[in-house]
Amino acid sequence: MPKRKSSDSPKSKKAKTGPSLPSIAEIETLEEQVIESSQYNTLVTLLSHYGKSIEHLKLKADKEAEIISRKLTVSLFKCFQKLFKDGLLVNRKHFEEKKSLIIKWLVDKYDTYKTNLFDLIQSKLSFKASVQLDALDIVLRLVKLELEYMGNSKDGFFGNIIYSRLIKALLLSENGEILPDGTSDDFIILEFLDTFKANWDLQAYSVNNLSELLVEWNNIKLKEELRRVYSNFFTLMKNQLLFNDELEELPKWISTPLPASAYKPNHFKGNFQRCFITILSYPLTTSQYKATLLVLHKRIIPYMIQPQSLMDFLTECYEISDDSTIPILALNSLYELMKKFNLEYPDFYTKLYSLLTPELLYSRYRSRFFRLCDLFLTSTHLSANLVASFIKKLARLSLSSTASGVVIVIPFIYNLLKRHPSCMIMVHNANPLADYQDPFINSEPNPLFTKAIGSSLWELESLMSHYHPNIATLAKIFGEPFRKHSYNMEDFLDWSYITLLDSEKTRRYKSMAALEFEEYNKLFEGGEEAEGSVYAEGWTL
Amino acid sequence: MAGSQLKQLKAALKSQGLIGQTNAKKKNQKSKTPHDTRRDDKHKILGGIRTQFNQFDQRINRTKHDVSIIQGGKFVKMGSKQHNDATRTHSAVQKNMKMQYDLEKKTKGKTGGLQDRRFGENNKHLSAEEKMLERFTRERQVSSKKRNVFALGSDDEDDDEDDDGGFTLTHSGKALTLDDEDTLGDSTTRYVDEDQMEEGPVRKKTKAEVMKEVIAKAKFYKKQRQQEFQKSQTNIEDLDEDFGDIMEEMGNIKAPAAPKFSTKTDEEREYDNKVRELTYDRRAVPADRTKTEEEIQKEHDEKMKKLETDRLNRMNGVDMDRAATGDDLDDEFWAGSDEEEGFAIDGEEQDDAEESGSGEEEGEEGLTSTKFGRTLARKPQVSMPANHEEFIQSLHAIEIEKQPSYINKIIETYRPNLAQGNKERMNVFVGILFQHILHLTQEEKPESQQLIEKLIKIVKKLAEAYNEVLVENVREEINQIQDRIVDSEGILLKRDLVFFVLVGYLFSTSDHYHLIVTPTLILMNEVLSKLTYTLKVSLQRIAQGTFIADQLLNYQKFSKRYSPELVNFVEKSLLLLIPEPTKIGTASKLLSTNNIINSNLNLAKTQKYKDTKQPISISDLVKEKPTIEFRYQILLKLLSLVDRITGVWKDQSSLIEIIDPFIVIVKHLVKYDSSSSSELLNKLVKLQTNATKDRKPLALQNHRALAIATFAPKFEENFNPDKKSYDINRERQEVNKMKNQLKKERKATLKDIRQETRFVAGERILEKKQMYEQYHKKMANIVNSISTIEGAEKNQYEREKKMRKNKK
Repeated sequence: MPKRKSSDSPKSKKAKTGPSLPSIAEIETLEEQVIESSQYNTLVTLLSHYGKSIEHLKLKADKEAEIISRKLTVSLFKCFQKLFKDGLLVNRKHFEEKKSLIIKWLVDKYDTYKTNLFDLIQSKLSFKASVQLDALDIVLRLVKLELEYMGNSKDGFFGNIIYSRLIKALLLSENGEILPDGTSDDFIILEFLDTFKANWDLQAYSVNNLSELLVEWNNIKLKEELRRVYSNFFTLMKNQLLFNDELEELPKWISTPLPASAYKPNHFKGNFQRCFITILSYPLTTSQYKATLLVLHKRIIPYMIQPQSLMDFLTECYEISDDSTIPILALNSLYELMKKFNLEYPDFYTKLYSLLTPELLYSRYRSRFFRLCDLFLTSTHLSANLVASFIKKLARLSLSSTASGVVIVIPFIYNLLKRHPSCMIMVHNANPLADYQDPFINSEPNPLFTKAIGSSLWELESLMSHYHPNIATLAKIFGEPFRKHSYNMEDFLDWSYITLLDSEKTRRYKSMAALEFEEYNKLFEGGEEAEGSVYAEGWTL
Repeated sequence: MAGSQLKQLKAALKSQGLIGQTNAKKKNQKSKTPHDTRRDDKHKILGGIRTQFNQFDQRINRTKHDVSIIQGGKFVKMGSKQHNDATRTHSAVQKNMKMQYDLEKKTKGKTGGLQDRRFGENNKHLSAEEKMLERFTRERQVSSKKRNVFALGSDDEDDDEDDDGGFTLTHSGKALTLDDEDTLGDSTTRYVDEDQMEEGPVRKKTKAEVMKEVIAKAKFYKKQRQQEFQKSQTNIEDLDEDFGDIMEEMGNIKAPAAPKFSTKTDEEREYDNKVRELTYDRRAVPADRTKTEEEIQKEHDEKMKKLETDRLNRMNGVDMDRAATGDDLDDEFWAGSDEEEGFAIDGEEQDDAEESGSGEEEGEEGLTSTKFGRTLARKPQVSMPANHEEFIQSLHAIEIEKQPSYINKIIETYRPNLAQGNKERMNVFVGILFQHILHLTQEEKPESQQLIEKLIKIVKKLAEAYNEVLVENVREEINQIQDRIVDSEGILLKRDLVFFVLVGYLFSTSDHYHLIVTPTLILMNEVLSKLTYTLKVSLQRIAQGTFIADQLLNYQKFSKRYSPELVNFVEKSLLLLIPEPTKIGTASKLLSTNNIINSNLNLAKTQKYKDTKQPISISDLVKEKPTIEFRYQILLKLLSLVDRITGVWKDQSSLIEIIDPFIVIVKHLVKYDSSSSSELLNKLVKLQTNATKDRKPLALQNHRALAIATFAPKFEENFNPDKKSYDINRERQEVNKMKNQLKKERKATLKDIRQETRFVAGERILEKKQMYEQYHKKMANIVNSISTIEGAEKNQYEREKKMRKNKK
């Protein structure tokens, strides 16, 4: 439920600020006039009241005014529903001139009503008002009404114009903030999402003709606005769509059949793709990039007709260097494209090599990266130079990595060495030159030219004396015969300090915990006795 | 017996008197058997001789030539020991089968039989001895029950049944008793009475009737006696019951008149008490010789040496027998506290000497040796707190200087050997003490440091005896710190920082694996790694990290284990603090990051600061103190950490990579503040050049070359037919072995069954043959006898005929 600010003594407020707003009883009589006695001129009064109440709500958090505007929304809906029933909103050729004039006039009023509704949905009121949700509800019902009375029932019809206006209003809605996960917390959109998720026709028509609009916005709107649009759009689209092979079977919002074009999968895919390509070219925030990339390969690529066209976007993401996580995430979708569409990426391994930064092993997505990296380095036909560079670089990174990072790196290197025995010289070089110098060039970006194959993995030797006993033992495999075929990486990818600690906590007390036998006179420096050995030198309490 | 078989046979036959001079009279022969019977026995004797002489089954055959036969699936040399064994067992089996067969034949078609009811006859678990004993006692019991049937005075009613010595007369399964006789008699008496009425009233009593009367009388008197006895008994019991009440009454009445049992004075009584106490004392034993200074020193050195080797073993992960140290309870803790700190451990040796006595004695002795001469009134009156709050309450009243001695008093009063349950109380108390130290660190009092120093020493002494409970407490604290790290993203409390120091102070941090130290290490490194994770970089975070890094290096002072997070942290923090880090240029040599950024913590490049050389206070680490001086202080501390890192890990082969970034950073820093860092830079550069010169590539795979596994060789060089299988596939070999075994067993069983049926069949044929033979013999005898009679008759007839003819 939307939160409302409690307003003190609404009566007095109304008297002060909204003198022109009618009471509920007045609205009811006006409504009656329209419905019972066909006094269509009262529609004008009602609409003007409606417009005023909306303006008023934009300025003030007035609970009383909200109730009135809600009443107005419903009353007007009832009026127009009646008009639809009477056939007074659809112009037909055979009508007399006078009647068509009236109809034209009524349609104009109906348009005003709709504009008001979309205004309610789109603009940010001074508080989260239920009237906005009412408006959303009414619009959705109007979609049905228009279909019933305006459409020619033969070949299927969908209230395209009003629905695309609704989508537009929703996308432009200013009610939400961009959350850290890239989505919006717009309550109207979230409300709409429930209906949207369950109905295929709503999903299919949401992307109809949207791309032109998006392009247009891209040119005229400000950065912040575009980001908001994206977050609204992403909120709608980030969930699994209903799209599948049997489009006819899917649940729908309207009861009548849809036009034939809605049942062509490629039609939808094309629209969807165009929208996405356009909207992804917006200037996005880092968190939006991350959120999109996280779901891209699963929720978006399947609905595109030519996923290759995402290439530019992904490449762009992959090249972003100020945040190391975005390229890692882009890697997943890139791999998907490469696998399915035989995409070629120039200097792929150079780029992959450049992802091996010190931050990588501290990143939350390290397991994702190593899963893929394992895949990319599976081939035994890769050059030894390249694999050696990866090995050496990873070893170098492990020298300043977290314990969980080290846990990944050790079996990873083992597997690589096992797969590429020519790299074994890095752990065992029995006959070095007399004046041996480490040839590895750390700053070289191309993994083919780092000369890592001539280097040695001293870093791993250091890890053999890692502070964690299990990791130290694990690192000692490099000093033992390589008998094991390979390590299953999944066992090592998802460790963290918490899991490491948990496995320590459960250990049983078996024998006495060994005590320090060396004696110190004092724990800390300072105090009265200045003499004697101190345990924590350089610190006082 | 000697000679050839023939000779032996002759001799045997002769000795049995079957051949040779049959009528020759032997000396002193009593000729038990007449000739006729001997003839009957002849067959038996001959059979005996035959079996005796058929020695193929019993004798070892010596063969002239080596002949091997297959027996039991094996090649066996004829006449060898195995062969003979086999034949022997074979004959044994035959004999066994025969016995079995005979037995079965005997019992075939028969039911019932005799059941052996003797005690324990079928009980295998009883030895012959036990059986005999039990039987004997039973016999005795039975005989003891048997008493003279005619003893008049002593037959109780209870004994009536036993009168006849266990025999009872029965009729159709029911026991006939005397009562039955009576009832039976009753029914008949009426009938008899009528007869008597008719015949006449007077009848002379039979002897039985008289006897019965006598018995009845005797019984009556006996019953009377018993009743009287019973009566008196109940009377006595009633009196006894009331006795208590009466005594109570009497006691009430005579309360004021207290009897004077002793006329001793208090002094005398005390003396008596002391004397009594002394009797419980152990006799004085000659004390150990007082050790000389050198000896004490030597022992101490040895002790230290042992501890050192133990530590090395633990560090290298060698499993040690820790059970030995479990007994090193420091019972003499109080006495030892007067000694110098370094010798506190020596208390154990005295214990070892005393441990010869039982635990009870030891406790007693400990009590008297420390308390002798003290009166009970001087015993410190302290109470054991049940929880930490109570403890703090009780400490409120005591001055801070006296708190350690108060705690010592508690420890002394509740030493585990003084009373039952003290051990548990002390367990709780050690936990409380540990908590209290951490609690004290939170208080901002100047004197609390002194107090903590003293308390931690007490805890350290208790750590050995109350190890488990201390470990539990420390682990609990670790859990709490972990929670705090997660909640506050790595900002810790003062007590947590002190906790890390305490762990290092109390426990052996060099161990390969340690129940406490390992999780603590994980915790500390987690805190250090948080600096990278978090976006909110604050001086407080860096300062706390610096402290933890310093402690980490303290931990690794001995074992020199590598901690990547520490390197990362120091590097990162330096970059955050030094002036103008972006001017370093390339980041390719850095381990912690790829792009250097400025932070709001970087020192200004122009400002000069003074090195105060003062120790940093931990209290400053937990509060925000963004003064420039403090920043500089932390920077200096970090530089000293770099120095320590190079010291601790100077033997690491990747030292070059580790100190590379530090060189870059320090070189940069020298431009701004040469006083603090130029010396360090020189040292680092020198170290690196040396390391680069010395470093050789790794050769980790220097293993003995592994032989290539060979599969199924065509020829076996030393083929051994006895070896069952040369299969290298172990599993298959096992399976085949099992299969063979099964086959063999099956065969053997079938063989056994066949042998048995064959044997039975043979026996049957033999029996039938015997039967037929007997029959034929019998018939022949009959025919013979008939024909003899017939012949005789005929002869007689002929004779008669002749006679008659002659007469004529």
